[in-house]
Amino acid sequence: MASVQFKNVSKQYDEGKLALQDVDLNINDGEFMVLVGPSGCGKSTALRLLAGLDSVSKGELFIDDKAVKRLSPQQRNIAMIFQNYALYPHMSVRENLEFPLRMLKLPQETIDQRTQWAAELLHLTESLEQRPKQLSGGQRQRVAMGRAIVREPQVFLMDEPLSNLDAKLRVQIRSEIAALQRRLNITTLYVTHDQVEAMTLGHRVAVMNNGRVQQVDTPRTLYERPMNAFVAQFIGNPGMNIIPCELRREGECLCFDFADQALNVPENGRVAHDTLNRYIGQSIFFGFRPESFSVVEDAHTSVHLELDTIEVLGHEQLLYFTLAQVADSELVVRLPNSDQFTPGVTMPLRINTRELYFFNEDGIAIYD
Amino acid sequence: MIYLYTKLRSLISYIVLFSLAGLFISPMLLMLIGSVKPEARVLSEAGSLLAFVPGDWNLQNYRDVFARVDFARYLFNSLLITSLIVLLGLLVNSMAAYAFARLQWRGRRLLFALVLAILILPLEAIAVPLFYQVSMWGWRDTYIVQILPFIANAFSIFLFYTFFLSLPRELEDAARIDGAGTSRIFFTIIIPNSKPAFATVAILTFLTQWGVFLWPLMVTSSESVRPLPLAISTFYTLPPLQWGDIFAFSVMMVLPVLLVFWFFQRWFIRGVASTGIKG
Repeated sequence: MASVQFKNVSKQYDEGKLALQDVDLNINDGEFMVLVGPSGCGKSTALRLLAGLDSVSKGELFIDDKAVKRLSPQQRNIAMIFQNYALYPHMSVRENLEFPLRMLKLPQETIDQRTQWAAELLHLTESLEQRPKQLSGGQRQRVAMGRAIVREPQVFLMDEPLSNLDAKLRVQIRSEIAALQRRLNITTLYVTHDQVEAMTLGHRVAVMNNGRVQQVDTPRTLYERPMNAFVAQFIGNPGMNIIPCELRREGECLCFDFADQALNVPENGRVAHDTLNRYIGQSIFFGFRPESFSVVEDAHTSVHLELDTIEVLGHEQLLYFTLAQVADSELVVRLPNSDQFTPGVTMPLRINTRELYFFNEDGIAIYD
Repeated sequence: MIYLYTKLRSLISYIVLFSLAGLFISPMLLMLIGSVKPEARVLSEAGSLLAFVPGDWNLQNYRDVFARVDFARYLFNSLLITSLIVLLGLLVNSMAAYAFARLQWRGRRLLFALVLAILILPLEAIAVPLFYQVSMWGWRDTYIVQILPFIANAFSIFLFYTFFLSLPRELEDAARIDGAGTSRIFFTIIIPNSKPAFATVAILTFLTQWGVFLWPLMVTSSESVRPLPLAISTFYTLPPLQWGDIFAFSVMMVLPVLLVFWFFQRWFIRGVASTGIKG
């Protein structure tokens, strides 16, 4: 076990592309940290830098307070699980598990013990003599996990390990990974683009975009208190609806126009009036989660929008509306599946204004 | 009606394909049958279909070959030279290709472009300067002069290079994290997963080198180091001109090639498919 620290780490490739910019990230001893973000955001680069597969352009990496930037991958005592398993196809499961131990030149007795331990832990004892191509996707991923744990690394690195599995197996292996991490208590850095994986697995989640860390927090905090519009839209499925607006003062009321309604910002909402007063007359954004709606006619809080499409998901449904006031923008509403709706019909939607979020013109969240 | 049309079409296809197959295989049949015929019949039946009909068959032509040249010596020379070129070539060219495909070093692209440029140079273009060079080093009439210049081969490097690029990089990353260095990764991970490329290069190199004639003719003079193609040439140049003997010699010369192909073919076919090289 060990703590991990990215200190002001940047990575620029030979062709000039800046993949990581001034990344600061602390991972505690035994913590399960998930790096999540869209494709090309730099999350896999961060993992490869920590693994020692790519070199750091600027900054320093620490594992247990020891600078590791100039150490070889083996000297860092880390283990990595890859998206495509990266099992050695010409070796049996046993040989795959033994390979890292042979590289460490451990005595045969220790190699046998550890291989047996990993095989039993991951239910692979029956498959030890098989080749990877004879195994199912789930079994292959277990072998990859086995190869990672046999050497008892300080840090686990996982690069989208569930991406090649079907939906059902993904849920199963996901819980196996979580259980394994809990049991072994090894510091883990897990990369994914799937926010459901991130939210369910991570003790904390680091959201990345354009090579920068946007926010590091627990899954609940990320969802409830996003630091900027990107995090608000990335976390949550579907993400937050964010729409431009301009606040104005009408007597005691602080309000803004949305569709056919002037919405009041309540005093007891997420953000106090005192804070919002500073933004009166400025172009800012307001946001709300898809579940902050109900289909109710209310003279003060309901807006009327035409329903575009419906996605029925089983226990709930997603309703999509096009907003006339903002080009190319779409509003998503999550409702229980019990109600029936027809596309093309104009519906009254009441917004729970106490749950409104506000973002400044740079997309930074406004909190008290 | 449609059934008849389909039948007719497949019949025509078969006729065309069988004719082509016959055309391609006929020289080999002629060689095989001619090698066991008496010399008089080989010549008299040469212009007719009777050339393909065995009759009075015997092994006299084979006995003549062994009587006229030291076949075993030539065979040994050819096997030694070709095998060493193939084995050392597999090692050297695959290592060079791996360095070009996977390792990061200054000048890599420029050097690889130069290697590709060498592809278009035939041996004949460099034979004379090469001849002067090896003469200066006193290497004439040796095995080494027939082996060394042909170990590094641009085409082999190119074949290996394209194959290595197709291997998943994660395999090497995983091995590196597991603690393997570059040479261990190459020998324990890359080579075992590159059998098709190795088989393809082995067969193509063997085929090319087995029939090399010009270079050994230039640099060797004694029978003790000369390969089979120079031996068979004596059957044309020194009387009597016996076609039966030439056929018998040719059959014996082709056999090792068939054996090599048979041994490597299961990987070779996959290799040709995966490297995109047409056979």
